[in-house]
Amino acid sequence: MLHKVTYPIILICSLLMGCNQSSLPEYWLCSGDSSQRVYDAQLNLLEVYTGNDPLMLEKFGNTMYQFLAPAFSGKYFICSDSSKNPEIYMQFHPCDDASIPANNVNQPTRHAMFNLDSGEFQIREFRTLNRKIIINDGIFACKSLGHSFSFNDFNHAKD
Amino acid sequence: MLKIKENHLIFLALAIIIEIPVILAIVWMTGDYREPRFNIWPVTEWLVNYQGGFVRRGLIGEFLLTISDPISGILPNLYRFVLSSYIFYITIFFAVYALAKIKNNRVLILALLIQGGIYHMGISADFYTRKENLFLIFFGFLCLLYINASKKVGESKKKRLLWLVSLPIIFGPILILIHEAYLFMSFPLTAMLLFIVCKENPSYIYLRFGFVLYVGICLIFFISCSIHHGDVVLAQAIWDSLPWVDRVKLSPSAPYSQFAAISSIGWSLGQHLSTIYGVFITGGVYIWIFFILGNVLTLAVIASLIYPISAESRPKRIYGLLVIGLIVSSAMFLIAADWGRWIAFMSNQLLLLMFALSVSTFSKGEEKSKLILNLIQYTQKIAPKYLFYIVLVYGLVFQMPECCVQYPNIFVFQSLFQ
Repeated sequence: MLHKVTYPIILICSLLMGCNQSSLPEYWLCSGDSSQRVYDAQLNLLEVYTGNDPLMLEKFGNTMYQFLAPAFSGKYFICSDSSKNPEIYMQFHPCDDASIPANNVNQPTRHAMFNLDSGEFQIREFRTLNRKIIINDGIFACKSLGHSFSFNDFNHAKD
Repeated sequence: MLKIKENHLIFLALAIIIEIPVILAIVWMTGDYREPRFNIWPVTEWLVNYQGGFVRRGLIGEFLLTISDPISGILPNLYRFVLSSYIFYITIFFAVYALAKIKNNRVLILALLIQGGIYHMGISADFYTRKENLFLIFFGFLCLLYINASKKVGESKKKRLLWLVSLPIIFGPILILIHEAYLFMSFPLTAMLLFIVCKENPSYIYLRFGFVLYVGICLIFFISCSIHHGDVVLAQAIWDSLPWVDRVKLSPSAPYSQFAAISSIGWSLGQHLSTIYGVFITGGVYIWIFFILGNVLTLAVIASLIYPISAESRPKRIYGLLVIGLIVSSAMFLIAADWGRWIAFMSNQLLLLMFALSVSTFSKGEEKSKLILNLIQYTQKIAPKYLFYIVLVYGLVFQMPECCVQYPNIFVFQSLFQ
């Protein structure tokens, strides 16, 4: 008998929580350019790869996800309070992760700054691989989609 | 004379339904084309390996990396592998159908044309390119073994039943290491099949022991995979271990950066769940509801053709088993957004189970559940006369997307004309 009461209550509570706009994911669709440059130890440029794939940001709680643009795919931790500051600072590793030493350049480090007011999104990755230095840069202009998006947008982001 | 012509026509239709997708799949997977043969996401899911340490989904990628040449890359081997798995699944499907002695052309045509089934797999290069096709092959093999064992007696039957319960204990964990979603997709119906075997053979205690062992070992391996779900550092190590030629092909704008399903190794449960939100917010849920209803209707018509309901006798237990099977294998809808994949997999697996249970004594018992009996009665009332033709047209005209980005293309060959 208990489950006949409990389950509807859980369902109603879940729906009501879902109505709380601030708890829903928020989306931005961005267009811009990315570049991946590879240097040797003497900082001679060896390789360059560029792209203008669309980028989509999904903010969910204090994490940001991006899975559309190949150059910057992944989950990012938001390390600044967006309610106080229009600039969101985010990075690949947890904000308080002491296990990543600053001099461990073999591990990829990504840092990004997203201005909620202007929609400007800047991101950089730095790491070394077999004595090569790899730097990823991207500058994007983003427009807010609110709490919804359409998969059709993905195909028009380059226009 | 008319009967011979009708048989010829059905034979011709069946030949076309089989040949077109197989030819398309062979041409597409073995041809020399510049672009990847299927979506980057499923491609990269196959490439997850153990080069960064033990991680979920890594087994098959490790195998492919081991057998591949670094110069030519993994992708050519992957294409051959998925093509072989498609051909192998078709073979298993027909073997189960033949051994179960269904002998009903209408059943066969609908089973081949069901959305996400053999016909649509081949013409879209979707579904069979996913890891769950291996689950289907294994489940089909178990169905074959079950049908074969059901026809034997004495020691011969005992030996086959021993195999039937042993193989899931061995291969269940392997399939979980290939993709942990096995626990939600294929495990429920496999456990159900073993449960039926236990019910039908109560004197064989080892079957019950094997059943419990299968459930336990699958749970242990799933928990182990959940603990080793990966992170960004490991995802980058996996990406770096791939042959250069593959990385450039998959991500030409940033070949040094982890991407797609390899990058998603670092996702949290929250991100997986937020994709469900995407199903609703993008309106995709309406497309999925259409295909869920279409496939359930197709499965219901096939079930009614294999297990006709007569006015004189009570409906058989098979209907209850199929409804339970449908419910227990639907957990993936709550976990991830690729609803087309889940619909296709559930439909194909239920078809195999439906064929296999035609030899089951347990499923021939009378249905006692009032809920199921009411459902059957209600369905009989509303069932239109030409239901077979309705689901036939549904199978021929539409093309279920595999996932979300293909929402606009819901008609067969539609993408070719855009």
